[in-house]
Amino acid sequence: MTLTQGTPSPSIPLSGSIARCNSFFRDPSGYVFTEKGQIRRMIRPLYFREFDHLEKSGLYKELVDWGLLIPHTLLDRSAEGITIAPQRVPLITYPSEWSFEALKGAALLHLKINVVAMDFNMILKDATAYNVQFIGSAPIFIDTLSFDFYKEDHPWDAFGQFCRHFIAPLLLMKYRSLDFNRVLTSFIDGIPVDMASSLLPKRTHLGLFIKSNIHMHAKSIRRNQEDSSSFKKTAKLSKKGLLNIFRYTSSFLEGLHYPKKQSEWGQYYDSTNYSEEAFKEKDNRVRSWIEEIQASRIWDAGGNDGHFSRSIAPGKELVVTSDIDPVAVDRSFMLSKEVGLGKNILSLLIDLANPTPSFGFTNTERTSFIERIRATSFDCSLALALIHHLCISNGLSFPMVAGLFASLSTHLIIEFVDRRDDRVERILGNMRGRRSLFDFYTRENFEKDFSSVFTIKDTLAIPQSFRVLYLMESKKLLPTI
Amino acid sequence: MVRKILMVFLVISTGHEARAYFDPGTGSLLIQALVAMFGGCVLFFKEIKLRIKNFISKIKK
Repeated sequence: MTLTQGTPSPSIPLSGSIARCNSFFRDPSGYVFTEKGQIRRMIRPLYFREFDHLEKSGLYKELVDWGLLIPHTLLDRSAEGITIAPQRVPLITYPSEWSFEALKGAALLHLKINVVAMDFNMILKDATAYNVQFIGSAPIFIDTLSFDFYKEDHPWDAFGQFCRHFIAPLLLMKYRSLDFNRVLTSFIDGIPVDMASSLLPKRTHLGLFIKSNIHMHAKSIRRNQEDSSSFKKTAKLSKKGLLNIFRYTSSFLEGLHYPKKQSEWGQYYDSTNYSEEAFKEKDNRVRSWIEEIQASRIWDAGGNDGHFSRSIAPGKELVVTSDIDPVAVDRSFMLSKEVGLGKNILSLLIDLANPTPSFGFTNTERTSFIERIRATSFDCSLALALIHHLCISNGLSFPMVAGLFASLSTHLIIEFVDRRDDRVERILGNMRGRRSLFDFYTRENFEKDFSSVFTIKDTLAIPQSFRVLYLMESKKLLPTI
Repeated sequence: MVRKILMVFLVISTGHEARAYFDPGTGSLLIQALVAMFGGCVLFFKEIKLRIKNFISKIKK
């Protein structure tokens, strides 16, 4: 058996050419490795009983039929272990990159699975958000080894983890800042309940759900941490009580929404300074270029509410739309879900000037956004109405931006927004005395710097605007700058 | 007060068999009885509300 590295997940070589992924190392039931770039999961003998029950009881089939659990095929079984090949998800993403509705969907998925699993005498033994991935806007559970036998009258072991990974971040996103989940890269096991309790506004003490799940929960944790005999205590909770928790939490989460105030870019396409005709022409040209270069895997960097992603998505393998604005990303997530086109569109919250870093143990447990994007081998990147934000608001140079895109995809469709455009004028106006720092920001310099790593294949001057659309082809793949 | 409420709904015993590969946290295990109780009440009243709504809509028809 020849096993090689070649996966988006970080991995370490084992014996011979086997490569084990650094994620999922905490659970002793098994581990993940790669074989010729394909994901494999090894199940250790200590988990055989649970795995067999999952399959033979009909629970696995039920969950897969409902689209709740990732399907797998059995590759090998021996006394030493069982090897399964789970279906691959298009791109591994993390909760710090998900929108509000996406994180909510992942939470509801856990609760749905628990309700179904309890009918088969099983329950989830953990509740980490990293066990969920997205196929388009549909969350799917990827950890086949998370199922444990339900023990009569025993509460849910993963309740605390569920609150840290889902309830606490969702509430902080609603009550404090919609991109609060970006801090999850610093808290790999979720936001501590006592931290959430201290950060939430006082008025949240009035709601029964938040009071019990966060504030009283935090108090209970503190009290039992201080009590040296607390390890002897065991709580009992009936099956009905446990189902009440799952149904109560589902009902609360389904009704949980953030204030609908407009974000800076959230309504961008409703109030854009293009004429309808010019916008249509830009849309048509982007689509015709995508067809011309036969791009199937496309990254729409700065995709706002995903308008162009949805426009080009039909028939494509994967379209990733990312943006810094959490309202726009949430809108993209929901619109992709509604129009039903979205099975190949992933909507992600990404700050291009500071994308998700590698984090976790030895900084290899979870991979950086750039590494994951690079491993996906995109055919084309879109950077529409983005260059002025990167170069003026974030102080990046043209060569830095060109180098980034040239290292990540073979083609680039980029829109140059001239200094005379009122949006650029506005950003430059905010620079006051530092305006001269951006004298380099001209179309001539843009073309010169991008031409060092790209070949300009085609251009379109967008009518009635100071904007030009470029189709470029990378001269060679460069290392990321 | 909270401790008293918890005492009513919890049975404290020894010999807990740890099944999770991480510490579930005693505080997180204990609080679930209270959450379940609140949940039960909320779901009960929601059910009543729903039945009343259905009853009214039937009468209107």
